[in-house]
Amino acid sequence: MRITRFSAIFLDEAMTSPLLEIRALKRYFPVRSGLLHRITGLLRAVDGVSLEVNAGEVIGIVGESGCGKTTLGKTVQGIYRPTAGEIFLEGKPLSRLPAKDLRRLGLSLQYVHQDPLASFDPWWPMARSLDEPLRAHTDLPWSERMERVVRIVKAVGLDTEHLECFPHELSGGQLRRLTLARVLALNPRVLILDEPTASLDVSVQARILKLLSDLRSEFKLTYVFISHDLRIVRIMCDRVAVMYLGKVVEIGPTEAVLRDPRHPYTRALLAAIPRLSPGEPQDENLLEGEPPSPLFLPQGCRFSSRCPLFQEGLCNASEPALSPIGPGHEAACFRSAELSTSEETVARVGGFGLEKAEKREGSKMRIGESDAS
Amino acid sequence: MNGRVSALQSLPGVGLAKKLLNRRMLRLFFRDKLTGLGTVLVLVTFFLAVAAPVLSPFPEDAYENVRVAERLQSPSAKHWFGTDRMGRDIFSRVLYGGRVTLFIALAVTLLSIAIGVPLGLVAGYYSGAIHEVIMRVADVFLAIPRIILALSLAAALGPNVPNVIVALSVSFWPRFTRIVEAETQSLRHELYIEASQSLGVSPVSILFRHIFVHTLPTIIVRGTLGIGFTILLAATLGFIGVGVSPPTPEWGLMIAESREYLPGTWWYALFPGLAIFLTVMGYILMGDSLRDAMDPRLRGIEG
Amino acid sequence: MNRTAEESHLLRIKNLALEFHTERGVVQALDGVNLAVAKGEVLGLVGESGCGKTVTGRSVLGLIPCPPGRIVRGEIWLDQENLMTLSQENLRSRVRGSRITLVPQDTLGPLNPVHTVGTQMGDILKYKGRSRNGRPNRPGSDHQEILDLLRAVHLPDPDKILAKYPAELSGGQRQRILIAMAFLPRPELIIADEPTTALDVTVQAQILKIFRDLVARDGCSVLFITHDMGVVAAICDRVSVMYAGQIAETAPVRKLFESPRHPYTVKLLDSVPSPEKKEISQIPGTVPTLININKGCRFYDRCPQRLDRCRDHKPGLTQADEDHAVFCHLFG
Ligand SMILES: Nc1ncnc2c1ncn2[C@@H]1O[C@H](COP(=O)(O)OP(=O)(O)OP(=O)(O)O)[C@@H](O)[C@H]1O
Ligand SMILES: Nc1ncnc2c1ncn2[C@@H]1O[C@H](COP(=O)(O)OP(=O)(O)OP(=O)(O)O)[C@@H](O)[C@H]1O
Ligand code: SF4
Ligand SMILES: [Mg+2]
Ligand SMILES: [Mg+2]
Repeated sequence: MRITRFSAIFLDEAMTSPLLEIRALKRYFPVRSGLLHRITGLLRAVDGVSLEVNAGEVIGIVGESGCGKTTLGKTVQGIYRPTAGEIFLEGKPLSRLPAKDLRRLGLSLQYVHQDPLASFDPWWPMARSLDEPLRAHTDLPWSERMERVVRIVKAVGLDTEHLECFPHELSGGQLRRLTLARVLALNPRVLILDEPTASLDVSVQARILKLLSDLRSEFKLTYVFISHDLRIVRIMCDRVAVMYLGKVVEIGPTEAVLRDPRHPYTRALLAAIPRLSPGEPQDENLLEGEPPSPLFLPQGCRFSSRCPLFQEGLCNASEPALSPIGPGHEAACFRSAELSTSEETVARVGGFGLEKAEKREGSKMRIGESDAS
Repeated sequence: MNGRVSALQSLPGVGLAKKLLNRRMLRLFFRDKLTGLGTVLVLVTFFLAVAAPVLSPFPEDAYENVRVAERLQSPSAKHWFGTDRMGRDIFSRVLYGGRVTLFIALAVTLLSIAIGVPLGLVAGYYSGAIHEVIMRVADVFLAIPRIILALSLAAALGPNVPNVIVALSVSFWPRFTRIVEAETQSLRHELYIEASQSLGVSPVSILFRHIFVHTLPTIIVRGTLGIGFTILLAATLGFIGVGVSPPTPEWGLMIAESREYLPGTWWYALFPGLAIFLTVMGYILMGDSLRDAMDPRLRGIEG
Repeated sequence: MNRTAEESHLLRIKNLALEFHTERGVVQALDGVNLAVAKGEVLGLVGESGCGKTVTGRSVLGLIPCPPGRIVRGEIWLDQENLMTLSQENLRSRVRGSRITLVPQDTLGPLNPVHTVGTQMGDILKYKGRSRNGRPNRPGSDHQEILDLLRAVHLPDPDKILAKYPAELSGGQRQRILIAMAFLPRPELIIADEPTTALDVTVQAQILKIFRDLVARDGCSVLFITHDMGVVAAICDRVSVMYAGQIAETAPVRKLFESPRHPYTVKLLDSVPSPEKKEISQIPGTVPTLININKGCRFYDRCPQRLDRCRDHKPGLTQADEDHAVFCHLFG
């Protein structure tokens, strides 16, 4: 059994306008301090993100902790009010829609929380939690609602007995499945999945990823897949957006971005992934330190304080904008052109030997095919 | 269809019940002997009040009745607690007094909860004007000491049971608003509330099905303690003379009447006083233990 | 493994079995665990959540709460000393925190919130001393040593960091401090319990590099607990794969990745995502609860290559190679 991509299925559905469009979205948090709780600063969690999500695709959002992935997801869903920017769903601007239409349309865009345990009322049995959206949006009698709950719970690979459990009685993997079941009850079109496999064992993670692929074809879903793990993004996503301190610094088709990363930060992220190949020299081109606080962004390029290619007078003079590199591939770096051409830069920033790795992979992957389940 | 699922759903309070009845909590609740004492006192006083018509030897003495021959007798086999200035049986009057007092205390507490809790929920859930208006009004009431507010109101309204209930409730509801508002404020930011919101569940449903249920333990604790303090306050009003009026058998009133005859007729003041003391202590001990059992900061210290 | 090779091992855990007596029943958390860490070696202990990695590490330190825990059988040797025969008092004064140190998983818990980092690091040197003699004990040398270590774990401005309280530091910074604290008394053995699990890949890569450098500098041994095969590949010399309280397979890290023997190891490696892979496979079934576990092989229910005898007979330890031990009937 394999996890494969299903985008081809939806090709006939392709529309002229993207299903979900985010334009220059910003979300700032006021920082208060002192006795009077006065606003003393603005934390720029999401600082101008534009994205287009086409029907049926899976777009990955990656970045280090605190770069604003969750804030982006919640703002797009409407949990947080945007500070600036606009969100279009099916071409309609969500902020300017009458309340009734917004309610209906908004439901087709759902966000799945990063922490599944905290996202269920601890005093409610699962049956009640899963019934909640149905109760709110349908006039069905309780018995019919329960039938639908049971159907969905089966669809995510669980049993009715799990419906009687309280959140703390369930494992992380089971809770993940139930968070999915709860939003699926609303027949959403777009799911924003916030780190859907965080803190799960590899074996459980593999099953959740498989489930996500299955659900996607069964319910014709579009995913915004938030993760901090490029390895999973490679498996799941058609396109990927790399975020750093509230901004997208590189975006493009997954293969293009991972094979030919044109932003030093993307390269650094790739270099930091531990390989499954012991004995090979580890990449020594690691980033130093941690991202600066989103309260005090560096001058010019926001990556400049950690960038190995930093150039005085260029990188700290102004902020680089996303500029096209290949088909659908954009990066926000003044020196991105050098990243592919100059051997010397590759040596300094760390290469990413995908070709070499794939040769090895051929022999390795065959073991997985004996899988009977 | 799964039979057990339906059984669960038909009991909406099941989560709460599970929480309230979990074993560690019961163990914490019955941690010391005082808790047992409090619970016993509450149950016994409640039973005595309910069964007063059956238990009292002279039910006709509860209100107006005069037996000149038996005035101010000390406790005896016939009159266990002695008799008062009208010759009425004090034992019967103390039992009936429990009915009056508990009725007032329960009515005041329930009325205050009914007014205070919804306001607290709304004030805590919404920020902005609604929040400000509700909380500023509550603050005004909270700024005046409860006894003074109740006293002046009772004096203004005139002495009878409904008026006492109104006076005491007016001074009590803001306390529920305050604690429920504070708790709602913090619950509002829980992820599961956020999740319900993003599923398009209506605020009313979120407030009552999630938040209200989670504030119930606090409300129960405050309510239990509140019953105790309200009894004391009601007795105080009766004693001062702005509470219920004679011949209602109210404990505070009875003590007030006895003042002229002290210290000779010690039983006249002692037994109503003892009744107040034991009942108030019962509710306060029980409320304290409930708080220990439900306060998450205390939970887990043992066992 | 011959006699002399075994003697050369710093830490030897032999046939360790541990139970927890809980309300739900007896949890057989460890069952016949054998481990050996040579001097200067990094041994990885890898396995899924709940398979007993943490309790193995804590057993070595004598930190299993009893009750509910009970060590049923087994021996734990540190060099020439049987740790199981030592009293708690002796363990505390002579072993824990001086000869063996721990890098815990949780970064906030182990640090005292009311003391500065500097005070807490100073205390280690004051109370735990050093396990190796021959180092000067001049006043001021302590401070210098702490500063050197903080620089070694790549904390900029060590002086400023020392004056801070734990809550003022980020998760990555606290993890670096905890690593520095573990290396500070120059222990013979460090038990690192998932030191990088809570961190970003970028920070994880830095921390692993720091760890490698410090181990090379001090020549100490490490029992490195993790659930990430990528981390194992990056830092370990040898690795033991754990499943449901037992060691499934032990081998030098390269051998394990290139020719895994135990069916569980094979499946586990296939389910690990890596930048090289476009697909991953799943292991059917779930990890069993360790209560009333079947008496045969614990992987029986999920094993794609199971034999009849696997159900009722516990597999024995088989040497697939001189340095490659497998706990499976397929090789017995
Ligand atoms: N409600 C909030 N109020 C104030 N600041 C916030 C709030 N939510 C997030 N932040 C801040 O915004 C920044 C981005 O946080 P966010 O949770 O979006 O990051 P993330 O990329 O999801 O990280 P992680 O991988 O740790 O989940 C952080 O600095 C965080 O402290
Ligand atoms: N104090 C305890 N009481 C009862 N059971 C315990 C106790 N400590 C551990 N266990 C049980 O022992 C088993 C092993 O736990 P352990 O914490 O060692 O797992 P682990 O491999 O470290 O997992 P993780 O990756 O989640 O940290 C588990 O089944 C756990 O439930
Ligand atoms: S613009 Fe300059 S500082 Fe920014 S990423 Fe590119 S090279 Fe580095
Ligand atoms: Mg997040
Ligand atoms: Mg552990």
